[in-house]
Amino acid sequence: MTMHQAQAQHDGEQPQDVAGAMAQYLGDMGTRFTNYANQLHRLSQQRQGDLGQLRNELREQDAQLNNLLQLHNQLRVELSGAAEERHHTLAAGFKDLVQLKVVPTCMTVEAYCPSTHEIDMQKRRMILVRLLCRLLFGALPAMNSEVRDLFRPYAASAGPGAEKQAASLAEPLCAEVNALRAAIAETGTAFRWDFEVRPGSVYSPDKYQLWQTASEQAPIRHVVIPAYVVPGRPPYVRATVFTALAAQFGTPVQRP
Amino acid sequence: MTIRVVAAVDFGTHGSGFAWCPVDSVNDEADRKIYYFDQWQDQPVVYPKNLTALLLDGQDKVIDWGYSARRALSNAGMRSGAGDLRLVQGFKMWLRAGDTPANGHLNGTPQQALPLIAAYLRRLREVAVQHITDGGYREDEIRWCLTVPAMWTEYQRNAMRKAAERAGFPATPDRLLLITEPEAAAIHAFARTPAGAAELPIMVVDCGGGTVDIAAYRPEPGGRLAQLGHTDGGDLGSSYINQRFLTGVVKPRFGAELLAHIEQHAPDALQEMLDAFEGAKRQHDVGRDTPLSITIPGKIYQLLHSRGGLQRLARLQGGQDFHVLVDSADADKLFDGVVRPLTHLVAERIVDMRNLLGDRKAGIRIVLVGGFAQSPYLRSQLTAFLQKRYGSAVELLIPPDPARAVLAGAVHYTYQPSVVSSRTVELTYGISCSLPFEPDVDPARLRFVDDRGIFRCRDRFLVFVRNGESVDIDQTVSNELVPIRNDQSDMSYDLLATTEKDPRYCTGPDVRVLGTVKVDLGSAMRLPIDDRKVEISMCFGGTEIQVTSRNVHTGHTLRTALSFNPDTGS
Repeated sequence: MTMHQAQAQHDGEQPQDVAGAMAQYLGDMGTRFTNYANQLHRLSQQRQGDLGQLRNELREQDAQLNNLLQLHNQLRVELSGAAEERHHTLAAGFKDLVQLKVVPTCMTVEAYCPSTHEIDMQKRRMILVRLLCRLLFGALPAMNSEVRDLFRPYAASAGPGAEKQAASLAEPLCAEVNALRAAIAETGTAFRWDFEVRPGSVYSPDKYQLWQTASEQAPIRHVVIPAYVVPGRPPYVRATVFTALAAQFGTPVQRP
Repeated sequence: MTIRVVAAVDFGTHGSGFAWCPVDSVNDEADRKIYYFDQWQDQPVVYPKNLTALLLDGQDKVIDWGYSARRALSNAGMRSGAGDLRLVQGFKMWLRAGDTPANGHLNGTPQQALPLIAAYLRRLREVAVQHITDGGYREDEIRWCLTVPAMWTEYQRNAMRKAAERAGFPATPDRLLLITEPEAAAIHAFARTPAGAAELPIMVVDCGGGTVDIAAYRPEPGGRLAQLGHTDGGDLGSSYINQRFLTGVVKPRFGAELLAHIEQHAPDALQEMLDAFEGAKRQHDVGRDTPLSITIPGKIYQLLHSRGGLQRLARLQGGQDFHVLVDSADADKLFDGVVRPLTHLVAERIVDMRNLLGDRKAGIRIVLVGGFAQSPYLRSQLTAFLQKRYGSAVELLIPPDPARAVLAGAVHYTYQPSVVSSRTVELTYGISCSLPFEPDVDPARLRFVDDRGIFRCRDRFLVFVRNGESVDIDQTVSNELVPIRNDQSDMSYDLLATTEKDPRYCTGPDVRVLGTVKVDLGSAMRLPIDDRKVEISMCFGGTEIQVTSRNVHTGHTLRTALSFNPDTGS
């Protein structure tokens, strides 16, 4: 006999009734717990459904956000992707072409000129490079005949042999420039060689390169070598500008 | 934290840059949209790499970096008191001071290099974070990757990681990955190869400014790459050609005194001339009949003029004074100092690869990357050599922009590190311990009796993985140790590395101690001695090696940060 049963007998109640009441009570409790459990299960399923829906919404919003960020980044000029990749190489090619072919060719052609004062020689060199760049990198493709015509007066005083030699330099130069022009056109993006500068503006190394013999202190006069520009982006290669001849150039030059 | 962006930093000897890519469903494909940053302040040409240079004051405080450092020095040169400023370049290679580079070009130590690398990386990271966060992402959503030369030792890689952490990059290995430069280039080349054309094994020849790294990979099913054999390389970077140009061409033309004056007073202009020489290097080819013309920057030109140097230059160059002229024969000599040994290295590596593949006539695709890969002379010489010796079995590929291959490949790797399936271990790794004594093999002086009454040999090298073995990514090798003494309350061991394939003792001449680990036996002490087990695991295959020590009874685990010893260059 348990303690509870002993207590119940002492109070004059029937043990069977107590047991029945207990069983009833426990049965009720069981039903209630089962109902609670079912309710919780339903709620849990509902919440899981909600959660799944929220996750899907989040995923969709994430995808939307990614699309927006992608568009945003495509519009940022300071970033470059595959489209700009070709221009890096082509701009380096342009710079190399000018430094290793265009300018040295001009120096060779200018060297046919007779002895002269240094100031005149340096100016002549700069002007020749400038004119040649205009012909080679202007709006229209470079033509051999125009380049030959440009070289002719420089070489004329050195005799017909020199004239012929100078003329022979035109064709390979035009061919290289036109090949570069074609390669740039193949990128399919808008592009230009930019000769524009406001004469009289202050020279800034952030915007321009300075011609070798020019003074940093003087205002800009004109562009010698154009900038390589893709609209909407900073120049790939900055323009080389001329200001005034640096003060130190002034001694006569004797040529053989 | 969700990773929404991956970003790679290529820290080069001459130039450094970063690229990044958002992690999204569009970029889950290999043809990812990678963004490069190409707007460096004061750069001469728009390009994804800034100059690896720092401007320091007299107290070694960083004043400026990149191309701006050069410009700042140039501007300061016009003012008084600029004498204390110095432009530092090439400091990445100072980490190699423990080695013995053939070209002996180091003017700094690893200890001096670390703060400089950290300072440079800090500025690079700041720009990268600014541009990525401008794109709508948060800094803590970025997984980073840093490229390192394949030739670098564990110590040098660890030093780079330390410098990166000091620069503000994440300290956890899963947020800052390291990848070797040729591996990144191989991934880039592999990602660009059309499906079906990627069966050939790849040899990557990464010709950077300071070093040339060569590594081989075999494509595997599922678009993955397995490393094939060791990494090779040498101090054959194109900067050595620049050095030869200065000493062999510029010095005799300008005169030693004038060149010294320029080095002292116009280092920025001298660097500009070397940039122009870089362009000339891209033009020089076999059989070129016209001389290379290297533009003399205005500052040097005007200096030469005022000191009578132009007449000397004109006299030595047939009247030409506007450029430095290098005739073809001289240019060939400048290049051959690097190109010939490089060709030999490639030939040796082809033999190694074919041996590993078990096919003496196996087809191989060589991918030439790095800044110097743009040299037509290098391409021509290498092509001619390969065609003559191997015919069509070995083909040479050069990506459209070889200088960016490493950066792009590092982004691909950071996006999907599992693209690399296995790597070759470059050293034999293991630990020091006592093993059963073998009478006919081990010397008697190493013999002792443990507390079980067993003869043991001290100073043994317990090998975990052998030099040259291929290990899968995240492959773990484990060994269990038990104490030798009953009253031993802890177990300590040395982490060892050696080039030997079968080292027996940890006292061998080539064996280096990478670090020491101590594991407390704790409550395991109440167990019988043979049950007091410590499990030591080494996880290989990553760019670095993770070591874990676990007390089997208590479950206490110790992840070991290897403390590399810089003195040994290990």
